[in-house]
Amino acid sequence: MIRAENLIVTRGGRRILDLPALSIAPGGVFGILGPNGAGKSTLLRVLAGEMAPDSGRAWLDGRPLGQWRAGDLARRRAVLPQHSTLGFPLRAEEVVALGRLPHAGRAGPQDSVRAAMREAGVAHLQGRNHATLSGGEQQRVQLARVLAQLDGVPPADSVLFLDEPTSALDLPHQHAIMAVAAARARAGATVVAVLHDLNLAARYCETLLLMASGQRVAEGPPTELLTPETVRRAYGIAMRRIPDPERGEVLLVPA
Amino acid sequence: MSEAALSVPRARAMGHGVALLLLGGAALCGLLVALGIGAIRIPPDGVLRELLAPLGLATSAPGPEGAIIWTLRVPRTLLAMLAGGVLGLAGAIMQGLFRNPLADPGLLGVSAGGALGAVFMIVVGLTLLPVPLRPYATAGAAFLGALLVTLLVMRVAQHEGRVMIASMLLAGIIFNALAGAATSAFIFAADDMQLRDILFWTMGSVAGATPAVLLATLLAALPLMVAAPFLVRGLNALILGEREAQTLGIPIERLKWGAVLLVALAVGAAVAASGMIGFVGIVAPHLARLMRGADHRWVLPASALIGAALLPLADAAARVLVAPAELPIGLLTALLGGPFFLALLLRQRFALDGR
Repeated sequence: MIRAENLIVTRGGRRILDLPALSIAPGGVFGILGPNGAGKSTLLRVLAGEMAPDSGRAWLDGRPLGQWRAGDLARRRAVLPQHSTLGFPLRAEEVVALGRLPHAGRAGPQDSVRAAMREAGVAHLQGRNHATLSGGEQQRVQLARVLAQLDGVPPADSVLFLDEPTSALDLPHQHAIMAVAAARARAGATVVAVLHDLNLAARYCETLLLMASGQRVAEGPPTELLTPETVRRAYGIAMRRIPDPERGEVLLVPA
Repeated sequence: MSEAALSVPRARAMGHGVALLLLGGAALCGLLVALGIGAIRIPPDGVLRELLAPLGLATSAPGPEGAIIWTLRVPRTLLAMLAGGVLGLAGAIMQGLFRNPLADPGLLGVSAGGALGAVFMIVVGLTLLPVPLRPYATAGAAFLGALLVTLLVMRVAQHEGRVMIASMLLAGIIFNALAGAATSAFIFAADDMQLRDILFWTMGSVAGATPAVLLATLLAALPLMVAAPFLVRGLNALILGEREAQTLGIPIERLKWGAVLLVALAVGAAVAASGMIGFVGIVAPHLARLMRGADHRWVLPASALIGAALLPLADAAARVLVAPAELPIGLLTALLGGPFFLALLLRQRFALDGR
């Protein structure tokens, strides 16, 4: 359970995040949407304990994030950034094994690595040099790394942050990554994802937070939130909403 | 991009531990060879006999060989080993910290600061000091100069409590240039005798090794060697990136400060004792990664061992190549390391071009 109150982050004299209250429940993917510069990634970093807000507070399971020890936090909270470039060449399974660093000394690192690679669908990349993989494959190996970091953590205790995980990926890779995250959420984990694709968000998220200029525009389930009116308020462009005849969901297309 | 060009071994036939033992054995063999090379050539079994003689494990051969080995060659070879090991280890740590295979302690201003300290002492300080202190003054000033410039670089690179790696590089370049300019100013003011001293100091030599110098260098290097195993986790996490390492629970600022200070202390002492010896800090980690990949559990100890194996051999070569004169060891490492590095760079560039 993640909770935050009166979060304010100011950079260069501009308030890039200003959120009076927020609460994120486990069990479904919580999506953060909004145009570039809306403060999505800043919010994610604050909630993940990567940076402290200038004022306000965030809690993980009732304990202020500032009071968590880095090691304890790393043993139950993982963050998948948009893109990672390795400083030195490593094989895919070596990258995944780095996810076990917070658990050093605990049993079964090889099992954790193998299980995480299977779950992320990259078991076949074992032995490959990470730098020679495609962007989508690299991102899925990184997903396996964060899954390995959470391996052995009770689902209800594990928290997964995805910071624009699917930007710059092709369709199959986008869906593969979101499907794995959604499955983790269904198993009881808390999953928070910053996304750009409205339809991808509608498909995989339980709850959406729509932001603009560091502030909340709207929050709610995708079907209620993704209306042409709210999207216009956040992004400033006109959209049309059409029902998905097959799945009963909604699709948004430019008007 | 070919796999071999990025030095990822396909299979791992043996563990890191076995490979390290083999590397250590190779370093010891190199040591025996190096001790036998010089104006008087002594075969490895003769070297071994002389080394074991004081322990009562072998009988010393009649003749001057024992004295040559123990008084002339052992101190400088031990200093070469120590300096080589420190430079290799420090280079591996700096490359891991900067996430850049071209980084070395020189980037932090350690070498430039050491040179400034030494040159200042040679030109200005020595005449002001009482005679008994003079033998150690140059090394001491080099050590202080190295530490001082490194601290300045770190201080400038710090912003809102965080040390920015990119700022560290820029600050390093700036302070390297400033220290270089100040060094030039002192050289400009130096007389002929001082110029000679400066020239030989900057080219590096382990000929000045005495038990006192060895002990002082060892003491300054010890913290780095003891702490190195504790840096492995953080450096491995840093391969992923700074943000990634932080979310894996690595105390990243502590890692930066700790690593840089320990490196400056150890390399400052190595530079003070042996002058400027280039390329070992870059070449040793490269060789280590070529052998078994980039995992720092392997790269750190392997780089130390490779450096400790290479420098005594370089010193031995420096003793005989232009006998009866002696080449400065730093000149030799630059002469050998430069082309090696160029080859590496060209190969990597072609690989990146996909040719």
